[in-house]
Amino acid sequence: MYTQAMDTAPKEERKAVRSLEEAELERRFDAKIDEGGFIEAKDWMPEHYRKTLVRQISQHAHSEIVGMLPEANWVTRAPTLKRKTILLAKIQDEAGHGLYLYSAAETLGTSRDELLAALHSGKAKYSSIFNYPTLTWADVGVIGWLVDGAAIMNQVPLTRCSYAPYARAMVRICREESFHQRQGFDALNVMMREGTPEQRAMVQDATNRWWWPSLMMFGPPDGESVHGAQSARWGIKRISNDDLRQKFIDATVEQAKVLGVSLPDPDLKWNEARGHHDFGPIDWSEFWRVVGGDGPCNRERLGARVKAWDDGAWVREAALAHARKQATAKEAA
Amino acid sequence: MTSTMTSSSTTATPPGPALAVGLAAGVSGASRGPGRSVTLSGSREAHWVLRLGDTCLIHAQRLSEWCGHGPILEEDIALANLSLDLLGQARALLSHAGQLDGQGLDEDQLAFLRDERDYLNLSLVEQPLRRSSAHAPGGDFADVQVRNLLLAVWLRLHWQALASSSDAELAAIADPAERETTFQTMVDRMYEHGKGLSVATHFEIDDVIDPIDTRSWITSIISAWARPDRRGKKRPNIDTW
Amino acid sequence: MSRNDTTQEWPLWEVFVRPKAGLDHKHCGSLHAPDAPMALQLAREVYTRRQEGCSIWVVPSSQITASDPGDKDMYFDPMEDKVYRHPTFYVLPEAVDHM
Repeated sequence: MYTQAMDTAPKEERKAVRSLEEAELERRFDAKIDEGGFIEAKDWMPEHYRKTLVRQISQHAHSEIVGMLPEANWVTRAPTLKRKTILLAKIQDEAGHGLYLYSAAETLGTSRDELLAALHSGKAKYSSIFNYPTLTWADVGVIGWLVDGAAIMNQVPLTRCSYAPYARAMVRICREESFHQRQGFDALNVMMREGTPEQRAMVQDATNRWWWPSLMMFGPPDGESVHGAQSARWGIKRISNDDLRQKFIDATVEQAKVLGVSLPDPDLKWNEARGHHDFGPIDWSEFWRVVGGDGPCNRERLGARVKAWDDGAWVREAALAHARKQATAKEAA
Repeated sequence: MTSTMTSSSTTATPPGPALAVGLAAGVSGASRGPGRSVTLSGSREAHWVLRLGDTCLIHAQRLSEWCGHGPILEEDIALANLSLDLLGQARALLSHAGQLDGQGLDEDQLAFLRDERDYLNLSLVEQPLRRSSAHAPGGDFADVQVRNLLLAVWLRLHWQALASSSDAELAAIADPAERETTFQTMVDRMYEHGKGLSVATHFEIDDVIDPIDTRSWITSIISAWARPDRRGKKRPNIDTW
Repeated sequence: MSRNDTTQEWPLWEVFVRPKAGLDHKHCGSLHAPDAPMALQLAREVYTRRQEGCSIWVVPSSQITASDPGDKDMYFDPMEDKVYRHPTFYVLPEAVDHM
């Protein structure tokens, strides 16, 4: 989910000749992974393992931060004070999750500023789902239901990721995540049960627009995910893209029935032999277009983040200047 | 697919209609239909509580516009915290005002359905908290901090007085509210110390307060807040019910 | 990792929180802050949003001396006594600082 565009990153050339020591270190490393052990920050790790995790964890962090924007769009216009409070708390949680993830990434030898530079230049990606617009209040509920639902499906297995700082961050995130999906589902439920026909239509319309992009969140099919095999070998990716996507669909079909909305896929139906729901073809050209920078809101989202960073430079510099001045004064005293 | 994402308003629209857009666009939770305004009964007590409650509400609204646009992630979280605190205080105050008003109005009806002139907030909080402007293309984070500082001191004085209110509900709201406001004053003070020292380079704070008065404004605000008043003196006369 | 990349960055702090009296302080992560008072304030905002009355310790990450079990005998780690390898933890002389 957060490894989008990693398959298109330049392939790392493995060193042709390795020392005996390095081969032994790698053997120990592989054995630890195979036993289900954890890798901590100071443990030896293959350079490619380290780079993969920096990329994945930072893109996960970027997703949380950019993901604040489509929801922040509606926080000033929530229909009740209670909904406003819930939405603002959710957005704040997402900022906090970004922070936990940047912290975890920094244990791998990179700094927050380096990671942000990669995001702002377009080199690093964030989850493509956040490049879609939130057109109505119902979108806010549907994001909670579908987008957070998909994210949770991905996050629970990550609590067992081999890299322990990432796994620990995921435990903290999952604990806080439980109310996010519930609040979205609850908001939609109220609209479907007590709303006017126009409001129910609004929920259906939002569902129609967010369903397919939510399925794309899980990434390309396993066969096309060159990266996936190595991540699985290293205990970073415990469940495949297709398996997660299938789990999500099976759970969500039932939830849609409770809500009373239809899902915009005429091919969606229960397959008794497989024990899962069959579903229609996903338009992967849309996915690659959006990942590549040509979605509805890519430019606005990145533009907002770059502007916030650039506009805030004077604040960060002033605070640092003040701190240094205080430190110097203290030393002189 | 064309982008039709709309951004939240940062112009100085009167608070009522801006909040009510959400009501029209979303679900009407009120028993009256959307668009039908409510009128206050004229209760003095309700009027006084709404002055406080509306100030908290509108300032919370303005701060929430900064969500996702702060100078650093940690500060984004801090501003959202402040907004949430103020929103909580506003909800408690508006609910209580509704009771004092005596017409059975709830927090949402009061928040969304009054005519604009019936909102009783300080006009300071309605002013935009610009994220950028022609004169300050780098953004007005300074505005945020100065406004936070002024309001935090004003609110803290109110909460301290209300803690001994004969209105038990107001007294109950006052305790956590004062704690939060005190904390926020400290945060703002820190930024202001930093700003004061680099004011020559940045000229931000001088655009908000007349440059001649900058130093004395900040000094007097901070010393007014910091002065302990614990020797049993009578407090200034603020009506508390 | 040139020094220019990191001198304008707010320093990194590790945060330890004791949720209530009687328990230990627990490491909960890191944050960036310009100085100690701000680090404490921000730690309260970021790591204790749901808890009142907890005790917070903040320490500059570069100030922590760490010992970790592992493959130490097998390879040289210039950051041996640091809590992890972060670009800001060592300030190298300018002459050699262009890695």
